[in-house]
Amino acid sequence: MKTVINEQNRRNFAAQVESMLHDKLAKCYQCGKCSAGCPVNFEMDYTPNQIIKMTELGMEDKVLSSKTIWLCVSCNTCSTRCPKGFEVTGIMDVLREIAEKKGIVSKVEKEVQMFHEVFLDNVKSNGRIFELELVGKYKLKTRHLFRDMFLAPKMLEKGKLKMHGEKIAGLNQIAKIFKDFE
Amino acid sequence: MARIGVFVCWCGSNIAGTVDVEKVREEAAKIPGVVSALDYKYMCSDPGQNSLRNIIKEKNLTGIVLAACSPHMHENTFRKAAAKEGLNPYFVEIANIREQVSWVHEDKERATAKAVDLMKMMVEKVKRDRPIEDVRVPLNKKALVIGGGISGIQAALDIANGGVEVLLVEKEPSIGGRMIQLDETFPTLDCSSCIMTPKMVEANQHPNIKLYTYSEVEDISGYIGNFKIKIKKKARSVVEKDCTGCGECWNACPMHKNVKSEFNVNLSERTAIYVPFPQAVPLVPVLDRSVCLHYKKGGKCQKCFDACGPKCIDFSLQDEIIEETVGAIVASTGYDLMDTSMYGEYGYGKYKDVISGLQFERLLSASGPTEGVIKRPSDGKTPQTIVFVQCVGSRDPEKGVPYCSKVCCMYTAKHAKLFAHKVHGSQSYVFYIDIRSTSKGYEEFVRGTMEQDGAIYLRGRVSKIYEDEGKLIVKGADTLSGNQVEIAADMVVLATGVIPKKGSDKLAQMLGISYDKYGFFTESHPKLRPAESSTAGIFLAGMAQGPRDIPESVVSGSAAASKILGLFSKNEYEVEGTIANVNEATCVACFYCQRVCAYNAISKKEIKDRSGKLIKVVANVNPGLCTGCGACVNACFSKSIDVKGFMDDQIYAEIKALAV
Amino acid sequence: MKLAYYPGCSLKGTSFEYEVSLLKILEVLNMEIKEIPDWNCCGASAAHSINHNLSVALPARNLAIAEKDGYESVLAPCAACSNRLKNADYELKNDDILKKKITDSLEMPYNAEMSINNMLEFLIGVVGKDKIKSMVKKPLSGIKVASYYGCLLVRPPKVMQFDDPENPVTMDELVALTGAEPVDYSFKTECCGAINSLSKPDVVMALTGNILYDIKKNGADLVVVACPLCHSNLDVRQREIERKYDEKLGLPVLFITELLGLSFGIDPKDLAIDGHMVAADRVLKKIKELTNQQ
Repeated sequence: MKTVINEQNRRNFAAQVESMLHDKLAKCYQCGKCSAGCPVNFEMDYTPNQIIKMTELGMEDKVLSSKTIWLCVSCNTCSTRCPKGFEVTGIMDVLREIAEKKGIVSKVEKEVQMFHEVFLDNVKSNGRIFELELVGKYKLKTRHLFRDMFLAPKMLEKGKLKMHGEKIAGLNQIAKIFKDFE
Repeated sequence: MARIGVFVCWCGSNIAGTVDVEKVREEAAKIPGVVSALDYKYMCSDPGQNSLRNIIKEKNLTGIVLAACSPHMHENTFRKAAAKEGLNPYFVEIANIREQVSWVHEDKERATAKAVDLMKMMVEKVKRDRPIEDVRVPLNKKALVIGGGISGIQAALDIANGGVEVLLVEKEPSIGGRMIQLDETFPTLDCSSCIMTPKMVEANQHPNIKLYTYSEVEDISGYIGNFKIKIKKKARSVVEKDCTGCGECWNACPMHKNVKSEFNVNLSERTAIYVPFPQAVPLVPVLDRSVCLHYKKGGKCQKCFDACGPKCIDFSLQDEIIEETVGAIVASTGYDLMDTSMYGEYGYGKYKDVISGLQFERLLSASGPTEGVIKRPSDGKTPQTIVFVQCVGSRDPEKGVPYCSKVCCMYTAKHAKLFAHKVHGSQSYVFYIDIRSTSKGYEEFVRGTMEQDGAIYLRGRVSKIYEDEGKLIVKGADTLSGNQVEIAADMVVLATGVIPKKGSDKLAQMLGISYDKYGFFTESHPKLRPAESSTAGIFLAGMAQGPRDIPESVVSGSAAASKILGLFSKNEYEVEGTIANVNEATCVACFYCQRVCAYNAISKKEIKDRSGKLIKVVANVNPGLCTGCGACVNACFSKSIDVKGFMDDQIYAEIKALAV
Repeated sequence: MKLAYYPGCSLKGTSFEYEVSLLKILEVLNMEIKEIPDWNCCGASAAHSINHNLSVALPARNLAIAEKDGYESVLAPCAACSNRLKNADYELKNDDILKKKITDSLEMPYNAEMSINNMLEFLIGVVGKDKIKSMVKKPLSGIKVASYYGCLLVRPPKVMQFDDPENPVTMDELVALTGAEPVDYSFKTECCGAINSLSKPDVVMALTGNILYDIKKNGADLVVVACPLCHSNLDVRQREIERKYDEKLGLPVLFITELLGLSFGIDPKDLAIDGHMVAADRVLKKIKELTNQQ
């Protein structure tokens, strides 16, 4: 539980996060209201306010490989109640994006990360989500083949799972968007 | 022929470090009319002033220029020194080469050039100075105190004890303010009403204090020494001089249990005719006409009248307007608590057992709705676990205010302590962000609440409060252990932030004093003139200026009083002579000047000949109100107004000096 | 006013009941909406989680198409979709640099003058309470209904600009219009864990369980939602939650459009209520009995 602060690294990391976030880390005065109301705090390794402080201190490795950033469900309870109007939900997006771009895979919460990746792949190839394909690919990737499988028969019976997906006509536009921003 | 002396001050290295002072002196000596030029380490020091006086005498100077610090600092010092040598003090001009040069520039050469320019401008100005006499305003030695809380009462008593007559105006039916609502006070735990009521009674009985309760200041005009005020004495429907405060009327009132008691912060009910609390001063009831059946049902009900022994209830009484003239005013209008219903997540207003700090005071108070026994509003049961939440509304720029309300840390520690004393075996939890306990005995008091009284402090805010099976579930964080915590409480007390009293901004506008964006009155100088408002003759006290505790409020009340007694120690008040001056010969009576004047200083004056025939109407400047701001000068089409000491020819000469 | 309709992926798949019931009640209300041609997925949570630019660009394409086709107003019944559309619109309004980047990529202009409505805004604001009330043929009096709003309809308030984020009432007002009794409870806007439904089922069951048991405790006969993700968690996962916590719930979860449809007297089958995992039979029977008495 010791961190030696390297001023240059600290500044670089904090500046990167702040520029993506359009908000100042110094705004946070560590009241903890975000952590108090976070619905998934109980599963996190660091509370949201700790993530903010650690980011300010430049603890890049710990923050980017934390469980917290992937467990955040973006429910916005934190930002809505934040007395300082700090983008608490926003910083989780920013940290996830940095982790993703750096290829850092969360050791513990890789399923969430993989789900997002598979989801966007699905959008990229169809323009819309084909749920059956999404679930199938996700299961292959995570090897959780049988999790939730018991739901499938009834969902099929109810007509909730469509057997074939649609591709949109403007797929080339979607491809361009992905090319420009991926 | 002008004989000017120029004095260049080094201000130690403050000026000399950046400005070549010798060069400035040399340049000064070259200017026609300058007969003496000197530079010195500290012109404001005794030797500095002495040499200035000697040179005035020796060289028979007609004007002096100081190239030194801001006139705000030492203009008066040098004017006085000059006056001692018989020079009109307005023949002293200051070229500010510290704040405007050495402190803001780095390049010595260019800074020196600028200092020389400023000095030259002042030399040209001083050559054209005319003698100006200060204005003397007579003082009406009577004071008005607006607001009868602890700071207002303190101010009134101190002024009255100094032998000056005081009018104390209070909006509510009784004086006492917020302090009389409190139970025991931190950090000594002396009972608030026990120490407050003697002061209230003293104020009521003081021969120099005239008390106007249930009254409001409705209009103010005039200026220091001569404020004309109108006080609206709202119809009480009770003849004060005859009332004995026996209580027969309110016991007879059929409207009991219908109106929420303001004094008990909605925790109990009152009748239509009522005194807010038993120790009220004066102990004379007020009839609330907005709820009284007599007024609502066309005069049918008169139970109070029938019950009244001395027959002092008079339904026909009307509001009364009282006009007075006073020389000085204290604005001590106090504070309100923020409305916390905007915190949907805390459920204030939705859950009966989520209450404010002031409501908890009333639950603790022996004169409160539960006679000092702590009972939950929902079911009257005594709570065993209370969660206190600090900083509700305070330090919250999103939903509340960004400032710290200053008193909540202490009163919450007091609440937790008193709860432990009153309910044995109980437990309190306090959510805080930082503990601010900086006055004498405060830190020890808070530590005692934790160490002796067993309150558990958690560092963090609360995010949500909800009801579940008769308990209030408080979801908070303890950032020290890094945990989200849930506590099942019987009651929750929100340490609600303070805001200025509703309507204090309107009063400030009426008084012509400035206030900040929250509505707190602002001081003339935050450090050095904390008791003065921005307007001469109006002083400030108490929470109307910003969050403060009881001792600070008392001190501020006394400070305002001492300022007024100081002011009243003379018979006249001196106003600087640099005010607007109308050339009556050229004035065309368009009165644009009157429109732009922010101080109501311009009136119409009729000029008549010997037989009394009207010759013309001209603008007239009231010297007591004019601040010399110069707005009228710009507005005047016929160029008939000038501000003394800032005449057009002087300004042009300054500009020309710069051009050379 | 021309009304554009952005169904989003869920309404075409797992939450088809939502679309069926929506189209049915609009038919009864005699209102027309037009699907945005060739719309694409808004990117949902995945995009904003790992690629901010995509999270703006994907919804922006749909908005730009709708704008080009002359629509002033878009209905996005899915709370997640309306949330992402509003977010994108907000960012494009407030960040000119980003706007240029996005419109350059789309090769389409976007003026950000569209009004984007979630289901509840549409019902209250566009359809109107009076019109809805006039269509209620079979008041559902005696039925206790808990409205669950979740996160996406109300948060972040600065962007959503909809109702009170801590204690919303719009859906309760609609419930009251049907004649049913709105049930108050504490977790109206607590999160059900939506986006992590597949990846963190345990977490989602804990969060959803809290909400469902609180609703149950407050005596509701059924729950209404205006979000397919909420619906999936509350409906599809309900059996598992019952098993996990060993306590029966049996709470049918209806879309608000279905509840309105029932009060309009529409056959439950036409509203696809039988498409839900938790059978609504008992409540439907109760409704039938009640309406027969009237």
